[in-house]
Amino acid sequence: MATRPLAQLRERRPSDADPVAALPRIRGPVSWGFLVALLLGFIVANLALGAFEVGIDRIIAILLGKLGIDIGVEYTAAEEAVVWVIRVPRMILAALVGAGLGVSGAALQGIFRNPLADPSLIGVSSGAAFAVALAVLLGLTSTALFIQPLVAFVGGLIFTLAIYAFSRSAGRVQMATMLLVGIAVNALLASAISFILSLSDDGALRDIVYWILGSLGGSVWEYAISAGPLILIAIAILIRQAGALNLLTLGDAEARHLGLRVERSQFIIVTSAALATGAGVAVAGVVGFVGLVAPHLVRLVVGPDHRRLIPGSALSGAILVLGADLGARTIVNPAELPLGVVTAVIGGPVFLYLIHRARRSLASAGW
Amino acid sequence: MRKAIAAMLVALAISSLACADSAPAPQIDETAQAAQASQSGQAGQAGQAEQAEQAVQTASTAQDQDATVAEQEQETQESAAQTVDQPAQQRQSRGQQEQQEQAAQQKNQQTSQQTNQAQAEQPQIEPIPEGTRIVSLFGDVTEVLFALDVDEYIVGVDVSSVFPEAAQELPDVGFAGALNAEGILALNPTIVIGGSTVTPGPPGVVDQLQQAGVEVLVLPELIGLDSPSIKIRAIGEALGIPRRAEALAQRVESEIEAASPDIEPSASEQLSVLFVYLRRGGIQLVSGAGREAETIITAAGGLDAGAAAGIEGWQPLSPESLLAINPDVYLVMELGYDAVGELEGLLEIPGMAETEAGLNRRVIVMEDILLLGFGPRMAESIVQLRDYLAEVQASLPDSSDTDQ
Repeated sequence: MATRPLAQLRERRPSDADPVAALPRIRGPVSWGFLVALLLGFIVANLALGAFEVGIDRIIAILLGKLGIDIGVEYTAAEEAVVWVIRVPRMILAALVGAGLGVSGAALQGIFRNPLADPSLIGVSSGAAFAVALAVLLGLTSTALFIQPLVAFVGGLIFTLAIYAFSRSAGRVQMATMLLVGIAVNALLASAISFILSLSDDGALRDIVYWILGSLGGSVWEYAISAGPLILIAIAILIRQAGALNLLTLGDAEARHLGLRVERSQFIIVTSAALATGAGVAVAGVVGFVGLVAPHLVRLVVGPDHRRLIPGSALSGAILVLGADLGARTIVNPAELPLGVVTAVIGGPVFLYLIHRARRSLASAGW
Repeated sequence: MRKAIAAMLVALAISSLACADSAPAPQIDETAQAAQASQSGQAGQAGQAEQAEQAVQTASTAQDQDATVAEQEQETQESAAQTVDQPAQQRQSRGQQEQQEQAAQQKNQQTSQQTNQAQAEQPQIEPIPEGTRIVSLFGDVTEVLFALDVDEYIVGVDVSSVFPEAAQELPDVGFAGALNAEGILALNPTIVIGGSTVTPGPPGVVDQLQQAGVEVLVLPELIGLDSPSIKIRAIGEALGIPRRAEALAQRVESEIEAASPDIEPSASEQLSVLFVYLRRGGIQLVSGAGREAETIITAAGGLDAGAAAGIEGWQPLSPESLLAINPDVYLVMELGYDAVGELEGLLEIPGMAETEAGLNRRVIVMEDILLLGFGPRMAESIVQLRDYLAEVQASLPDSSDTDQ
């Protein structure tokens, strides 16, 4: 199946009655196994590596110790703190934030029928960034655990809903309109943020810039417990919407003729994507590029069917952020690189390379 | 093609895994470097450490020997003050007639002598608990730690800790607003002290450190003349050396009091000083009521032009409002002054050249952390600004001429 000539595919697709069935099939369990193995590898690496050296046997002993199993390996309280208080919640959040961004990116690329769509397009990232910048400027931030994440989360959702409402006319949301409204609002928010930056003194300026660049440095269990379920619920909803996304790929009118309640699906997909991204942005700041790159990486392996693409994007997004965060916290020990910079540095060239290698087949592989 | 892509992805994965594998190697390198850095830092401070030991010994035995230690300290302080003074003074001379520098230096020496007296009265030095390891997250905190003579217990500092120079040798934990809790824990600190200028972040980092069993002290935002002593007392309390801190706080308080006498200068003699926050390429900010600059300008006998014009906090500078404020002198910080291209660049900023200060090229440039850090050197900063203002005052032809 995989050796079928691509030229033939290109010919067949437009005229096919069921486009999804005609799409290239994934190469079965191999690619899934590969993705899962990569994810597990990065999870282990994120637990094992860091500024503070802890032996792998001790890490296992600490983790099992938390489950009440004593395997007879001694460890110090400091090692236990580093692994259990810092690395485990950080690893969980990196995986969840990445999965949320990947899934949101895949869903939004589908609903907008645009390969350049990413979670920032619906205003959730820039809305959150604007809200945080404003809060920092007004001196509302503190070291209190939940103030900044809450400001970011609420800000992101408000702007997404505003964009959605603004794009509605006569009860229908034209996706092309929403795309344009999203771009306009993003530009507006970007200049508002720049203006706030120009008004900030040195400390506030750097506070805002570093937040916009994203970081998982402050990951605590409280964040994993509060943001985690939101992201997981949103991912589950989007996986259930995969069939609807496949139909929407044909066009809104066509999907409606095929019996899909288009507006309802669109609203569910946009709000779920905003939820997954917003919860991630709240705890990690703006992590760029993952929502754009993760779906494309997977699409080239598992094909464009959203039933495979959505879960696949969750895996590739998680892998990307786990890998980037590993770099962010180990490259410049004991300081830390901004996560968004690392994801862009990794994601950008990888994306360009993929485009270069797949230029001819990109169109047939999904777009 | 699909095979090729899959193969490429595998290659990518392998290379990224290889990256992950190779990560420990540079990490070891860096830890080694950090260890080296801390060693060299300790080597650099060995002299001071000895001095401190000596101080402990002498304090318990004889009073007159104590005085010699204080003298040694005074020498180092004086030399530090001079190295700080020189660049600022050189710069200032460009926009200003070279006058009264000698008078200024004499005054500096006077305060140093007062310092000396205050130190001689210092009671015996309290020992800091064994095994204390401190990470400082802002420049002012680092200065206080050095002034408290506990610098050999510092195991890490942030990027803003540039004074004294020995602080730059210590392991760097990065910018205080974007910390890596594990990186800090790897330095094995017992206490982490955050400054008031930058909130330690990202949010959650303070909780991480506390949950890992490290004591965390975050100073509140302070803008008054009592800021240095509040910081010193809070830090001393947290380090378990409250009496040592009390002595330093009282000394700093008396220095500040001496540097800012309560005499209200008559309004005609008072220069209006506008603090301009210079930044390359961006909107320049002016400071008004309720900011650090107002505190220091008022203490130095000047009139904060921004506050007098009704500005509160930071505000973007507009050419028109600048002309309306029409300050006699600009006060700027060294890094920003360099960034905009010194005097020439400063006067090119719209509106800046047309005021009283701009027309007469009256610009006072001071070291950033000395001016607004509000650390133990605050008195020095006030004296320096007062002297510069006196120079400007003396350079005025006549009060009747300036009204034209």
